[in-house]
Amino acid sequence: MEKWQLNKYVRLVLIAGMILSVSVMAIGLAMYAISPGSDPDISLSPSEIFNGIIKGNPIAVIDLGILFLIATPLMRVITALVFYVLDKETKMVGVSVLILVVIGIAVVLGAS
Amino acid sequence: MDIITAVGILLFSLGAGFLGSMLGLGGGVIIIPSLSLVFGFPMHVAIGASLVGVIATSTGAASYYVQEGMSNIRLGMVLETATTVGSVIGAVIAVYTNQQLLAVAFGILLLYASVYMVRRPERLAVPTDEDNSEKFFDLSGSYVDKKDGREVSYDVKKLDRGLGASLGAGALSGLLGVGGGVVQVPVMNIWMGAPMKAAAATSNFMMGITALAGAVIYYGQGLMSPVVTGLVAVGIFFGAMVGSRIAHLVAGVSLRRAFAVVMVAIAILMFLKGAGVLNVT
Repeated sequence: MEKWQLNKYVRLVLIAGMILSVSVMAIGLAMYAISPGSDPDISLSPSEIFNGIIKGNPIAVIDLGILFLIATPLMRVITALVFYVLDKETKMVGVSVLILVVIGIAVVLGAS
Repeated sequence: MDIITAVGILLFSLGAGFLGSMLGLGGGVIIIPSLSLVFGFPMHVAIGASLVGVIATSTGAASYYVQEGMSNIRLGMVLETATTVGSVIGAVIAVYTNQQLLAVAFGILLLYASVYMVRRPERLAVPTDEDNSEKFFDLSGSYVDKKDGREVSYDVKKLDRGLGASLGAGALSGLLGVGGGVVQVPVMNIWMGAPMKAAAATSNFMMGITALAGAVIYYGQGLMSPVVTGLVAVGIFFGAMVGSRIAHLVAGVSLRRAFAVVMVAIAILMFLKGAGVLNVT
């Protein structure tokens, strides 16, 4: 597959993640400005975010936006991985998997 | 949080994104001292918010550079294997480090960054001889220079040194919440032989995943304040969007010199905070 195609898809992933995360965070901040609700200084776990959004908790919405933003660079690594697999570029598949493993370790360390 | 603090953080973050994009910095070196010295937040909260701000800057800028072919995705991803490991190590160390020590470390980083901004060492790309260029990975790159419309092609060399330095740049990112460009850009340019523009664009592309590795640790450890982080990310994003569009209208050298002086002053304040003389919290 052509090099520029990878660039094109990586760019689309970055733009989509950016628009989605900034919009969600802005909505959450606006909700917080109107009615603050719960403690603004403690991040919620994914299940708390899910329940919080149903209840209209602004902190849950802001956290969701933060998680979307954090996930954006991750999505572009996964996009590149798919390309390298299709292209049978073994070395770059290894590089992509290695990055994902390190991120996985970081998630586990963070949660522990 | 009262509304004045919230608006203040938003304004400082807009300014950090705006100035950062014009000076070629991630907003970290501006936003961390602002949150810590002006608003009195603990260093850990400032660093956590800044890491998410770095992801916002990187994502916004990289989407542009990637389209232009300026970011070398392969080179970036190979080096990311080292920056992410460094970032995890840095973040874990930061979690157990007291904030006075972090303030002093940040002051030292500011002094280095101010010298770097004034000197801006640059090596013009020279064709690498065959024996010297990277063989295991094909990391060569090319882009069209907008200035004269010429295509610039380059090979990359000394990957081992690049990986070692990337580990250090990553550790700096996880420990102090910056993007690491002040280390990464000169390494890619001077050691590895990438042209300055490609080095800067690739560094910007890499920062997102580097900061992510540190950010998930701060998030998981409960060191991230959602409201502060949201304000910083949104502010930096919009500030950078405006700044990058008018960057070419501003005389870069004098702005960089002026800002270098400001950074030295902020470094002194960070040292005072570290010594416990300046206690704003």
